[in-house]
Amino acid sequence: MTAAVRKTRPVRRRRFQLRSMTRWVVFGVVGVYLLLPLVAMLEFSTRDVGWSRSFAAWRDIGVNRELLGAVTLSLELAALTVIGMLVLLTPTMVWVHLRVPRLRRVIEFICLLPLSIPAIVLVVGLAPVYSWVNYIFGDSPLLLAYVYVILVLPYAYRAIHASLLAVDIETLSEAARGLGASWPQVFIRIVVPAIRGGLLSASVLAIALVLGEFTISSLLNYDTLQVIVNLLGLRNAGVSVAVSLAALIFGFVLLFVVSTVGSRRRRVVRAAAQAEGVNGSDS
Amino acid sequence: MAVTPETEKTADRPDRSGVTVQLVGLTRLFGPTRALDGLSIDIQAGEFVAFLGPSGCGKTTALRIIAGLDEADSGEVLVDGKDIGSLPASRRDMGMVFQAYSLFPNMTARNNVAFGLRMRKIDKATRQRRADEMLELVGLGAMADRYPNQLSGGQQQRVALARALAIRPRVLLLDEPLSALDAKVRGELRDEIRRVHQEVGTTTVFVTHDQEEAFTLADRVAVINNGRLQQIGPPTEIYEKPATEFVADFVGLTNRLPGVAGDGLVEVLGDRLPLLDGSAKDGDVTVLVRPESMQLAPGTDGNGWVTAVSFRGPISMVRVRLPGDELVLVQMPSADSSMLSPGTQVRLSVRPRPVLAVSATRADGRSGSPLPGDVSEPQGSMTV
Repeated sequence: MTAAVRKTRPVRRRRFQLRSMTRWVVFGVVGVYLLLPLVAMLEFSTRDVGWSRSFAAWRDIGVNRELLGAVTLSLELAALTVIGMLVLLTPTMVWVHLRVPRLRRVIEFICLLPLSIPAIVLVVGLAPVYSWVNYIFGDSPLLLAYVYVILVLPYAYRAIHASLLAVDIETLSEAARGLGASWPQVFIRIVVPAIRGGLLSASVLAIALVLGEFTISSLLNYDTLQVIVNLLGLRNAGVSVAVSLAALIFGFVLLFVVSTVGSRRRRVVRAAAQAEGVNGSDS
Repeated sequence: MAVTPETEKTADRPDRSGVTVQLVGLTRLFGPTRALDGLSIDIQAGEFVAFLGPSGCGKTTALRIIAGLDEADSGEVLVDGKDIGSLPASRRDMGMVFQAYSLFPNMTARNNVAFGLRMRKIDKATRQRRADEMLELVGLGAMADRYPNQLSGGQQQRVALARALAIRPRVLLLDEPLSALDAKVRGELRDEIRRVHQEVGTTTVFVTHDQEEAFTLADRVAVINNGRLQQIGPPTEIYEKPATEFVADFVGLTNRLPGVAGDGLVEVLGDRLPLLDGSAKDGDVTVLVRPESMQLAPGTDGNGWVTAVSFRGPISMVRVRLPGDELVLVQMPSADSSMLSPGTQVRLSVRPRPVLAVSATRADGRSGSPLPGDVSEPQGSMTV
């Protein structure tokens, strides 16, 4: 072993240790930045007289009918928004991608518009529309899903667009058509599975947006989760903070489940297919 | 290895099946570009025809029009004499293998192969059995349960071939299916395609820009340029009797020698040779001669000097400079070339075979000069 080699090894080790330490420092700082507010919320919501702790505010969550109603409403709105977004956007984007690519810019512009329009301006514009919608369809808070679908368009568009670019959809659809598939069959059996990752991402973003949305529902006088949390905050700060923390944790769990379910399902199917003597299922 | 297009493959063919395909005056415009310009080709039932041409010549466009994935601006595609122009791709019963890997990523190899049968509402047991048969046919029976991302590129193209064959297509369309593969796998899959075609006998159209592939696989080769058919015929005919200057240039190596035509003959390097059909008949011409049609003999009364000898196993390529400083390429057995070295004086001549002669001033306006000894390198990838 030469002297030069002996000399460079400690240098490399030191560099590696430095890089590793930097990673952990960055990870720690980001972790503290994200977790500290949550810890503070937990501390505040369990604060009692003196140094004692109480979970009274957390117990109130389970019995507060107003809150439970808001949670249910927000979940229903999230589901409707996801369905509306997928039904509206996926076929449109796939069709434009495959058949009329010259319209891609137009669709992108339309989908990104809500990003550039402040929520308050949207409400001012939508208020007259909603008065007619309410007049015709009744005053259901689920009608908020209409404006939420518009709000999630920019994020959903990006997610689906990226997945369409990642897969050679044109060749796959041509291969499927050549094998006898109609356009609806191509869409359902080939395209949707191929861009499932993008669709899941779009759904996750839509759910996150709906669960956290406050401005529009408040201004249009609908009692969604964030509106009720705000109202509770005026009456009982402890309950309000407990609900906020619970909503955050619920949101994290929900998003985690949604984002992992697709990939886990695929892994399971693949593992089953690879197992000896097991035929792949196509039914 | 000498350029000797395969000639033995038509004899070992089993009974033909499949349909006839006729392209009649196909024209396709992309803006101002004419991708196809009145292309007409007749393909016999069970025949394996290769569309050969440079990139952008229109061969893939023609294939896509046959498949129904593109529409011609004018012209007809007749299958067994019936115009299929109005049929969508999904109802043409044509199997296609693409240049890009096109297996459905969410399905196993078996389900990919069975997909076309499923679209035809064939029961599950039958389609699984047929899929397994097809996978066995392409040598991938043991990989039926693998997903595309668990297969190599060559395996994916084999599955794609099995998928195209599983529906028992009326016509099998292969759009440069080997071009994304490395040389070794390409050779193996080429043999596989040939073997499978001999077994099933489906009418097959194979698009390629690789003349070696076209010559090895096809019963007939259709050379296309600028959307027009230049020549169609068996590989030997394409190679030995090129109908146009483009075909002579595109296929193999070509020497360009000055000559004078008249009375159905052309005088070149002091020899008088018969002319092929389509040659320029009178006046100053450029004679297109293959390196293997050239011959040389050492001698002090020679008309050229050896500048380089390139050993290529059983044959050697000898580069000879003429008095006018022009270069001519001569192919000869390596055993005969051992006496040659740079500086050796040689006498060049052309073997007494019919040759193609074109006007000394080309139709495209490019001057024929430096004509004596102007060697055209092949545009395809044939090994010489």
